[in-house]
Amino acid sequence: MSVSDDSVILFEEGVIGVPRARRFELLQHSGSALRVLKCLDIEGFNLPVVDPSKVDPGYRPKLAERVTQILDATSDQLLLLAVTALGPDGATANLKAPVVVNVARRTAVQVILDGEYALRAPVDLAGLKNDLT
Amino acid sequence: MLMLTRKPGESIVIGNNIRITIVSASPSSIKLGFEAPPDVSIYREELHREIVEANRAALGLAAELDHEETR
Repeated sequence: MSVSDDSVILFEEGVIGVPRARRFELLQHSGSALRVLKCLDIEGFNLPVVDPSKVDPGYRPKLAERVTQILDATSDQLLLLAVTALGPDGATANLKAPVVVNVARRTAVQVILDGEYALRAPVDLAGLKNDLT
Repeated sequence: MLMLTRKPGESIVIGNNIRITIVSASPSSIKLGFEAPPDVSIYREELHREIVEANRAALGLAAELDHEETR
């Protein structure tokens, strides 16, 4: 994994279910279109993430006021990342609980969205990889 | 676990700035109202658990990516 940006992103609340996972680096995975949030607090706690608009081109969730307030930014200044997992039927992205990053301030929060969003949206990893080339 | 009995319309205060109110109750369910600062997240437990599990599943893919790279 190569370091694309060595500054630390702080999740003030940790990620959902793991409050002590607070400091992460966002790395580009060399072999795919995925990036990886590598935790600096817990060894091996690494979350692959994908640009959710690559999974659902119409993905523009409305963020609760509490999210824009915590991150001190308006919705259009925030970077959205979908946590990606490998299930029995291939890779899936979590569009229900994206990671929201204020890139300028290096702060982030994982939120659970209101409304109908897929918890396991299928991701075509091979297709994404081809997009890069 | 602390247990308190409350009636509809009554509340419970947690700390200085969280209030939970019993809005209504029926034999099969109760409706709760929450007042809390914006930095406090409030979720139904089953949804929260699903997200925790999705995060955990992601760790497996990360391990696999690592493995790919070292090959």
